[in-house]
Amino acid sequence: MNVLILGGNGMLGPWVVKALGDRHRLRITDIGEPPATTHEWRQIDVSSLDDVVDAAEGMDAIVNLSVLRPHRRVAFDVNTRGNYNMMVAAVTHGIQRVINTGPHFQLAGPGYQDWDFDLNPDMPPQPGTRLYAHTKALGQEIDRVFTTRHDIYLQTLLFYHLYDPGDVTHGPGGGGRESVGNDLVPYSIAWPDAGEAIRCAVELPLERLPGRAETYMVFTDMPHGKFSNRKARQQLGWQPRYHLEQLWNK
Amino acid sequence: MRLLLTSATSDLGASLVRLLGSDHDLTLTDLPAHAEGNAGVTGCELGDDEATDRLVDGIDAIVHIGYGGHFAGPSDLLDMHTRCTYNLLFAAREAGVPRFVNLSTLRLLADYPPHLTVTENWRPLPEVEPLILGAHLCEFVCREFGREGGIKIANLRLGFPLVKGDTGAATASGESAALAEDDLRVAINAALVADLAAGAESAQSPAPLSFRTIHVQSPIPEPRFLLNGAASVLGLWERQGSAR
Repeated sequence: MNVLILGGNGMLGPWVVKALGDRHRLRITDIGEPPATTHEWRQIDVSSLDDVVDAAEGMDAIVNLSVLRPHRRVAFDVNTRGNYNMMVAAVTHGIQRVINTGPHFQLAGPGYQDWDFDLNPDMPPQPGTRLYAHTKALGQEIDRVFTTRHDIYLQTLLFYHLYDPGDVTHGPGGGGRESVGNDLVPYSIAWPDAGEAIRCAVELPLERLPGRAETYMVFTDMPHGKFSNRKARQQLGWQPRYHLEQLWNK
Repeated sequence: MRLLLTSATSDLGASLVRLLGSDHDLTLTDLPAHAEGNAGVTGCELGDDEATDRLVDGIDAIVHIGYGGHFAGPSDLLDMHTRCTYNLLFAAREAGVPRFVNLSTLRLLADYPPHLTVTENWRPLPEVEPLILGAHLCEFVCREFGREGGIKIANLRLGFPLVKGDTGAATASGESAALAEDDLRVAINAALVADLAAGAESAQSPAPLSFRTIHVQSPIPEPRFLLNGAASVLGLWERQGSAR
């Protein structure tokens, strides 16, 4: 399969490339500097409609890993309008498979997370007004609307805290805020498992999707009962290899 | 009431200036490219900056055109209806502006067959065309601010087309979803002061509903859209435009 990766040189990109690289032909794109890769590379800006449409030519699937968090204008450019550009590109080139990613709180914002348990990916989104969540939720809504009008299948995979399974003691991104035995955000995953989930989504036969817009909460098996990863396991056929027990055992 | 009106130089904005000018003290704003050369219109990018903060300072309510303002390319349209709306609401909430009226469109529900009893309870069916998609996303932004509270947001979905005159003119237009300008004026004035929690499940709670969508078309015979919300929330057109 020919797979376009948007935002392919960010935090998650290398793990996705690792999971897909031996099985698919990749076109990796990012606004930043090129990665060390043997795959095709293009430097593009996802907020440019022309850039994204051009990059999608000849592709069978699009994986959107692009994200921008703190800057108000750029967050909307990337997280919201970037999704519009991606969907126009999919329509333009007849690409049926689109995989979008984002943080879990673009769906399960504080209105859910601060109150409830067994939060699942089929709830209607309540991102609130926090910039990151809000702009990504708008992007997902754009994607969903496109699937109601075009022959496109959208899979949205929601992540949050990501750990290096070889060194979980330093927290997401090695920031040093988490430590063994002090519990962790009950929505966490190891980087390789996140890449593997994307591979499962890329390779899932479209006819096995119950609908044109499916969302998955992707995190490792955890005892908290706060969120549910059942749908990701059942529909994607994904299974986490790393359970991060060190962090939720005293 | 001191009102801030956005997209004030657009066709709809100009109509609103005419309709609301005698009832309120209007502050007019538009993007600098549109405001240029228009006396009395403050140019503002609605960015995340002090210019937007100054714009909302001392304002009692904002009337925001969430559909039917200026025509533009897809990127600019989506930018206005998402980022600019977000910035405006953010600044308004920070400044303590108590009320925000978003003017959206009943075209979001136009795909439902006319024989259905479409009300505010029916899910919008937006197209991907940027004008309609932008209106839908603008509602999304407003809804999330409303969910958090701190500002009361009335989301008025307006009938189409907008016709000059009164309800009789809307009837005479032959358009089943028409909205007469006089009815629009009445609806906006009602939305500026209405109890948005009226009739809602949370009406008696300490934190009642602070976002409400209300369908607004003229109460003509056999209207395309029912006006239950206009009656219960805005107190308008009781027993008109309802299912028989």
